[in-house]
Amino acid sequence: MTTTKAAAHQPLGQRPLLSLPAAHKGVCHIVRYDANGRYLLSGGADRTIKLWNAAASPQPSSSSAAQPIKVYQGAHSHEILALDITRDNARFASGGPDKAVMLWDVPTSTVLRRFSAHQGAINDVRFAGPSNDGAQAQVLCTAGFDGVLRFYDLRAQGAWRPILEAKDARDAIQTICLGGQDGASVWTGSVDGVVRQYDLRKGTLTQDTVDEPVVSLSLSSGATGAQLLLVSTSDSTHRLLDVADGSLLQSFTGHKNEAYRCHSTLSSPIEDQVVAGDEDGKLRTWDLVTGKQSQALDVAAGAETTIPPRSARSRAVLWTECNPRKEGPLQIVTGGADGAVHVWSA
Amino acid sequence: MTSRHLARLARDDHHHHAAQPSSFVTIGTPLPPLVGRGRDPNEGKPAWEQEVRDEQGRRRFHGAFTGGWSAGYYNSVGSKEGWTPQTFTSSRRAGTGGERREARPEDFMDDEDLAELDETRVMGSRAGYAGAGQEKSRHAEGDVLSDLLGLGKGAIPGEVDAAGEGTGLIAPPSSLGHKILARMGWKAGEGLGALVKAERRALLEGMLGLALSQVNAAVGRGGLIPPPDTPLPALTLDLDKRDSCGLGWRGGSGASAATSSSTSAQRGFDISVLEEEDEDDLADIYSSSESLSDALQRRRGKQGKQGAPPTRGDASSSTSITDSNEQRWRDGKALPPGFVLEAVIDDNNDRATIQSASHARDWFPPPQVPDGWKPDPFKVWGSAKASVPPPAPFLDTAAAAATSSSRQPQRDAAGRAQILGEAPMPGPPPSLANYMSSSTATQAATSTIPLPRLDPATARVALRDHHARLFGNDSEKQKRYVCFLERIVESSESGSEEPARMPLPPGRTVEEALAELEKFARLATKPKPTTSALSATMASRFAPARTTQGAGDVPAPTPGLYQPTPRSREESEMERKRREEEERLRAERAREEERSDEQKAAKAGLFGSGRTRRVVPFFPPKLLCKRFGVADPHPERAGPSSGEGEVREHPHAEEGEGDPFDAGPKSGEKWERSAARREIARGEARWESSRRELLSRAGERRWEDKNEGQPLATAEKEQAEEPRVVRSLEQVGLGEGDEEQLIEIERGVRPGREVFRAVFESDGEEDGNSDGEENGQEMGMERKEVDRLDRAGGEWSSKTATATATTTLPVLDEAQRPLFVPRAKTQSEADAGGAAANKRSRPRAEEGKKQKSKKAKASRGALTFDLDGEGEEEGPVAQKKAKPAEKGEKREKAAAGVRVKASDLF
Repeated sequence: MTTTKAAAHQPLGQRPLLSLPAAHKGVCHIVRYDANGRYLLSGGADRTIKLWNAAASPQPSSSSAAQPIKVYQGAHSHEILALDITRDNARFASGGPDKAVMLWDVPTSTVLRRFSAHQGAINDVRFAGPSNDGAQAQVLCTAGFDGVLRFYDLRAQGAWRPILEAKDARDAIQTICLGGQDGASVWTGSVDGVVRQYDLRKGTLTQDTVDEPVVSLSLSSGATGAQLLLVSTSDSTHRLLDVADGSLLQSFTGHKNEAYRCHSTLSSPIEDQVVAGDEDGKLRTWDLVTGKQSQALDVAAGAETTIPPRSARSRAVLWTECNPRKEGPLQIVTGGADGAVHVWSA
Repeated sequence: MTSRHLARLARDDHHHHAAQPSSFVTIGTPLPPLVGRGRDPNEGKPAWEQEVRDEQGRRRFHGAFTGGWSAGYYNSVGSKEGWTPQTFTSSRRAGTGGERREARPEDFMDDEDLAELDETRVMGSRAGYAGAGQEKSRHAEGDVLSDLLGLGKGAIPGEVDAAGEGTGLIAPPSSLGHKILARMGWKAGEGLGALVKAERRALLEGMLGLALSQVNAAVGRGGLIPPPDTPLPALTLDLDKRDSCGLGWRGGSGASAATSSSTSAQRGFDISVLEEEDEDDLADIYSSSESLSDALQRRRGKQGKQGAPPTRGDASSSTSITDSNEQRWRDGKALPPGFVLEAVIDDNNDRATIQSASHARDWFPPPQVPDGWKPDPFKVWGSAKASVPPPAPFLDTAAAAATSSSRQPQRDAAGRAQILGEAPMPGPPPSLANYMSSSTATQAATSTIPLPRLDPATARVALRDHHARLFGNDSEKQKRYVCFLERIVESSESGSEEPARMPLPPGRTVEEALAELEKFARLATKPKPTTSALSATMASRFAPARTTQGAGDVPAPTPGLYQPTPRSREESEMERKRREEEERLRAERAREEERSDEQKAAKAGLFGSGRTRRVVPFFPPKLLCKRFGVADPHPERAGPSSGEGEVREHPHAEEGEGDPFDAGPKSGEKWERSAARREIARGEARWESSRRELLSRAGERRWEDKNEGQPLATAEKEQAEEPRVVRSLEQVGLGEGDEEQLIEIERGVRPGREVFRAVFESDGEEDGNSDGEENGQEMGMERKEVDRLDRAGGEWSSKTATATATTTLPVLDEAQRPLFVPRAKTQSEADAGGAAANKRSRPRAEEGKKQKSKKAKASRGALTFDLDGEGEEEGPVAQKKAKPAEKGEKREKAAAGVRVKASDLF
């Protein structure tokens, strides 16, 4: 709050807090924190979803100790590209190239619902609903390759048809982001280079053109409402847009992101940094205000993985997410193309 | 009932005719009257009640779900008597002894199928009448006629004799004429007519040239025997006759043959050409003076010749012609080939030949030979008999003459002139153009059409792979195409300056041909893949790529496989790089051109509300708003799109707001280009200012205050500058029609508390009442409107009042609704004594109803009674019509009664 200078950031530790070098066979596409930041849910190319304990293990780098709490598998026939966990941690949703969105029950690891209106791969799923605490997620937003944003009703048990199909995107939607006033806005970032904000409260669709394929969207999640939107595009640039008028506040470069969906995020709980992995296997942080890169961590080297990366592309850090807890130092989880999941802490 | 119905129909028909004016003209055959044929049971029925029955009245089709088709006797293979299998016969025994019966398709057909089969049989003529080789080989001309007349070979005794076969072997044919004759007492082998005595028969046989038969029938029929069978005329019918000469014309003879055939035609059919008789000859036959023996002898000799009749092309005929003096003029000169002495044809027997000179026919003296005329025999024979190895004139051998006469070469005028020794016409052979007038000549000149210009090299290339099937199976067109190409090449080789011409293809107009040639020229210039047939078929399967904007720059694709010319590596590398660079530039240019202004602005880094941001209204479904826990942003929106729970596309089109990313920069009406350009020009400065703003804010962390939704100062200023539009009452709250409301929405200004209460209290109640309800569909629109009408105040209420006044009717209680309200009295009296009157009116009205229903029942009863056993549903019609006056009276009375009572009430 009081720090104004970029140098005041506490740098990330060189060693990961938790290292899961073989979390998935093949690529780990997504790692999500649960609402409290205690567990991790990862999905990968091995068609499994694994639930991990996010707390630091006594021996951080021992791979033998790292076993998932639960493995959710058998439902998806393709890799997992999208995961989202409800606020009460009771259910989560998953999606992938098999065009099916599954709603899972966390304790029983059964599929509660299945939505299959999409005609292409599912790239992102998000739970939505009233923003007040304690309310259950009532809507599931899904989007993917077919460029359609769909809203599924979770409250009506039999409703398999989406409430709304927004077909505004002209190309595949890569990412969804929820937030805004009362949590009633949905942002989509699509390959056609447009960030669309569906504001249900205002009844407007705001389209911000960045003219590059959008791979990641992150919203500043302050209690005061979203003001900043971090837009990562495949021209190796993160842009910080002002939600109110769409003006560009800052852009962050210096990394490499051209081919993959490398998810970026704003640091949490203090949103003064931009954290993102790149295709070179680096975890980078930028100062939000100045736009200067503050840190570049080599993930593989830091984790001291015994297995050297097989190829250049397997080094890519595909997912970066901050621990959503309200206090405490910055914690970042990364999922890489080598299937490893690491948790980094400042 | 049926008779009554028919009577009615007849009467209707009669009336119909009577109503027509007498001058009415009927054209065409009228449809058969309805009375005549049976009534169609499906008449007037809807399609699903119609039933199809076969001739025996059985219903064959019972509907797809109630049985389908039925066949046979109640869906069985049997009959009314039951099913009887065919008696079993052992095939082994049948093979040795009894006849073997093979099943035919008819055995498996029922009556209907057989009837159908009979219908399909078509009466037609027998095939193979016209001369097949088989017929010819049967050696007798009479056979043909006997076939024609339906008589067999055996019916002709002469033929039987000639064939030397027994009559018994040939089954007598049975034609209709044959049967009639047999019925009349005629037997095969006998002649027609009354019975004759034996002498007469012998005479007749002699006259007919028949062999004398053994007459022993005198025993049977009292000395009378049937007359001899008249032999059928043996026509010299050439069965594969190809020429246009007349029937029976033997060829080779000139005018004499024609006259002879004409005389034979006059005489009738019974005497053939070969049997032509002179008048005296006929007199001979019918005169009894001639002795029988003479006649017989003569006939025998004639018959011997008849056995081998001379035909064209037959070598045996040459003997008859070439022998003795027949081949020569009487003065000893040989006849020209193809010429026959008249007498030879006219009368074939010796006596006639001998007597021909003494006939009454005039003998013309030979023409006067002009002085100085020298016969040139070589001229006559040289070319005409080129096939004959030794062209010996005049005194040629008999064989040579025979072959020449049998050949009968096709002659034209020049040939004939040559034969006759005429001097040939000087000069080149005349062409048709010499005989045409000038106008026709010019017309003929245009029939060669000028060819369109085409590079000869191209034509040559095109000619090289002309075998490619460019026109599918149209080989004629292909030929024309090739001809065209060849002409082009020829003209270029000949070096003529004037454009090449080409004869007009037959059957085509000049315009057509020119158009086609133009097409050919274009086709020739088009690059064609060398793999011909495959490419032609494959080319039709792929759509050509759409030409892009930079199509002019794209080099034309070279056909066929790419065969790289040998080139050094650096050179090719440079070439490749250059091409890649060009490609990239072109793609960039194209991309740049189709960019929207927003994209350009984004590319330039000019982000902001006027440049990269675009706001369009978004109409989420109500259910979605409810699930998100927000109010419907467009509560005034009506129509089907507001339905809950329905899948719906985001409706930009209906709002008249084009998506800039869908339709390009054209459709962005709100987006003004000039303003945009101004904005872009100002962009740098604005960016700097906003950046400064951001930095200062970052320092103060002001955006984390509770002061949410506060836009940047510049944006606020911009909005403040916008002119305020005076709102009319119709525009208030109508979404995008109400600009002020839009502005308020954009600024996040909330409406008054009462409005929210109006909206959310009702929602809250709904939620509280029905926790498990899924879609909230029972939350009607009208109810909401009314609620709002009651609760909300201010401008909203006034606005909705105007809206609802037209749509919602004043709600009335069920009990208060009047039953019979005369129109004139509704306004004035209904209010005053409505309730009381209603109470009184009800029992009376019900009484009226009861009466009505009674009548209806009575009439229904009549209907049911009228139905008879035939089950005709239209039966009562006639009965109804019988008493129209009575019923109408009743009905009127009833109606009047009701009316009177109703008016009494008030």
